[in-house]
Amino acid sequence: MDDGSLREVIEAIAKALVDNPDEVMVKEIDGEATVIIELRVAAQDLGKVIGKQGRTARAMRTILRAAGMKVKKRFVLEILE
Amino acid sequence: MPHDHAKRIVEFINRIIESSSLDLRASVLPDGDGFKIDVRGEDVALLLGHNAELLDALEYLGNRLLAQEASEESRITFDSDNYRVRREKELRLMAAHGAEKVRISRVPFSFDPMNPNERRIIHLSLAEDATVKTESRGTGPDRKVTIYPA
Repeated sequence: MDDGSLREVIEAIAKALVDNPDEVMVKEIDGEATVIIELRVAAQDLGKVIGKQGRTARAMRTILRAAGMKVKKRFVLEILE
Repeated sequence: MPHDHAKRIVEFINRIIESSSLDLRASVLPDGDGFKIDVRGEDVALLLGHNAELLDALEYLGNRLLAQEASEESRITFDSDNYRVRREKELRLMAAHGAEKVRISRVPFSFDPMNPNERRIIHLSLAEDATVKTESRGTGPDRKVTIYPA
């Protein structure tokens, strides 16, 4: 699998939920066994990608975990402003 | 909920699933007066593992999208080959079994953490039982139901 598509997954979800989709930036930092996916959004959109009690962030991490099982890699989502 | 809302959610979810390389496919199915979104495929074990954590994650995201598009308050259920009905039966059995244990031992019994829907099914299925009472404790993903002797 092309790991880059998981970057697209996070980007698609974030862009669908925020008020400022143009300010969504997703970067992928590849490690040997772990891939860090860094999600940056406008400060006022942070709550939108984290969600009530962190549910949106948790949903994104659940998807990354399932996708990671298929390629035997760990994907870590970091949310930044 | 209009059918085109359901269709747009399905398109969004299928894009996520495809980019995740998961062998799953979402589609719109009739459900009572409305619609539900059914997800199936080879990766159903990943979808339904850990109490359907992935199915619930997709359902949550689908409903976040719906809340933005629909003017009125509406919700759409995500299912997988009638998993929700099967799981409800299982939860009712777990509730009855837990209540039986508490009646005999007089010791409270706690379930593993569950989502709000599942906790609701446990509470409702024991609501008429005068010999026990139920309560939810904990926060966020750690919230769980405990059965106490009445």
